[in-house]
Amino acid sequence: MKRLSAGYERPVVQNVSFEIKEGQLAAVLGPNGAGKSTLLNAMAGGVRKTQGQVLVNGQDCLPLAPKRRARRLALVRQQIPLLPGVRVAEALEMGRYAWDGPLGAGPGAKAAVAEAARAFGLEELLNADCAALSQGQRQLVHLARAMVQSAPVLLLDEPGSALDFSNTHRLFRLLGQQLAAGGRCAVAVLHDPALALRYCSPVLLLKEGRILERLEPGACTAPQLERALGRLYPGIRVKADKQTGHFLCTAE
Amino acid sequence: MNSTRTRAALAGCLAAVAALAAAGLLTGSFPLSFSDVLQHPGGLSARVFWQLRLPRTLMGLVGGWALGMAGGVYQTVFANPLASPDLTGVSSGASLGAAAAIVLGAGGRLSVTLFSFAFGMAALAAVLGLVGAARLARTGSYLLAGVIVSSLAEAGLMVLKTLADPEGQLGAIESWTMGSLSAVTAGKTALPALLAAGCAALLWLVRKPILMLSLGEGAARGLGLDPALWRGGVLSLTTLMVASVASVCGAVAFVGLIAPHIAFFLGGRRGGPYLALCGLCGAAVLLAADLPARLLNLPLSIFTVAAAVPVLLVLLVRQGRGGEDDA
Repeated sequence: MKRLSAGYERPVVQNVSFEIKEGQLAAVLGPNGAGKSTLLNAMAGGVRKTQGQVLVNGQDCLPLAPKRRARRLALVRQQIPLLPGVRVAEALEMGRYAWDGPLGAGPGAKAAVAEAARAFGLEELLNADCAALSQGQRQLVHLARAMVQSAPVLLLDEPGSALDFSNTHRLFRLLGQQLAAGGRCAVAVLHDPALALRYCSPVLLLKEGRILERLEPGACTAPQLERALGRLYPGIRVKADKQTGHFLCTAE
Repeated sequence: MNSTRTRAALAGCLAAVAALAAAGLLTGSFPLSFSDVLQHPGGLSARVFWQLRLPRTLMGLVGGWALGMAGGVYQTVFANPLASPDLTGVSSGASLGAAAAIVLGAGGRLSVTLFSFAFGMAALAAVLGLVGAARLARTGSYLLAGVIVSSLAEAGLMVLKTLADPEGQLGAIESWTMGSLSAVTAGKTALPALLAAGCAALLWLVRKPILMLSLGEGAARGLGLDPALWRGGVLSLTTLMVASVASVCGAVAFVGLIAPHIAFFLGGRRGGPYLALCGLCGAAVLLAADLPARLLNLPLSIFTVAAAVPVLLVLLVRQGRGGEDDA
């Protein structure tokens, strides 16, 4: 992404630039009101930009028509209403819309839906009503739909927000497996720095609409991370677990 | 929820519509039977059958289908179980347009169709404009804007009624706003019925984008849909469908609101054949309401409103028990 500025009445995201590569899961961390969700929405073309580009494989996606843009960028928002009576299979098939021809779904639609359902453990639920699912299952449906969309870049707004502790970690492991399979990368807005340090690289620190720092947790020590994250969350303590090496975050 | 339930709902509704249509063909002030019609092709019974009964029943079928499907489209696009052409200003706008055509003396079938369509579309544009100006694209905002636009259209209708000639125009306006199939003849039916059927076919083809609009603007755009373009196109097509029916039947109340609820109650689905089931339920409600309307020579809306009350009461009770989300 190159020098993106976007916002509503006033600019919320200012001059943001970063680059991520295939297979990477990048995190955007920041306090409330830092512009994290606006940044994701601006990348997906949902917020008016004043300058900048969002390049996927060298092509700027912002001037593209929504259907062509959706083939390159898949956005999963925090709250997506699902009407009662919509089946999981139908919700997943919506992800193929960007690839549908004028006469409906193309030949790859069924296979893409089946593959995403298998990857996220939704095979048994394909005929279930989305309204009957738990919040966590719904979130998996939205993520699976983003996979069905077959876009090389996933934009995820707090993907674990509705999940309990175990399912949050299961979700990030699943995401990691999907990204490791190749062909994709993801940017996730997160609130939990420990989750970001565990599963994501790079970790982008956003404050007042600007990127303060880009961290590669694997190449940093706990004191370095504590100092950097302290710019967003004053009083944060970061320690490395002696057995696993994972970083643990606590408040002062 | 399973496919068997949906198939059973479709088959049941189809059988109900066929039975009600057959009853409609045999019901009226002039007694006739199918054997009379077949044995005496040039007789009075045959003329009544071909020129009055059949067109009236076909218009009831197409009109009910169109209103029911329109309600299904509205409730899906706005993701709101109370959305319908009645509550989003379109019906009031169409009524104002028809009344304007009648009072201006351009009360022919085509001009009433065009005026009701144009005013229905203007009402829809006003609702969308108000929501846009308020920068609050929530579903409740559409309904509130619909109440504002409906009230303005009702005020305009009252003005036109005071200006109307009490001998002819006032009666025509009153009759239009209460809905009736009594004036339907073969000649009056063909064009609006074809127009409504064409719109319904096009809406059926785009049922997937219609369902995607229920996800909200941001999510729909993220999936590759241009929400403003699709919402505008789908609602325009729906308004044309409603206005073409209204030009013959007048403003028939509540069919568009209750048919989708019956369809969802029976079929349990919002995707797949839901819009077709809405159409079938709308046709069943309208054909059923037309039976007493024929016998008692009363406006249709009396009976569609009477049918709506128990359906809305059930909806209220189910929502109180958390049976259906207030999306």
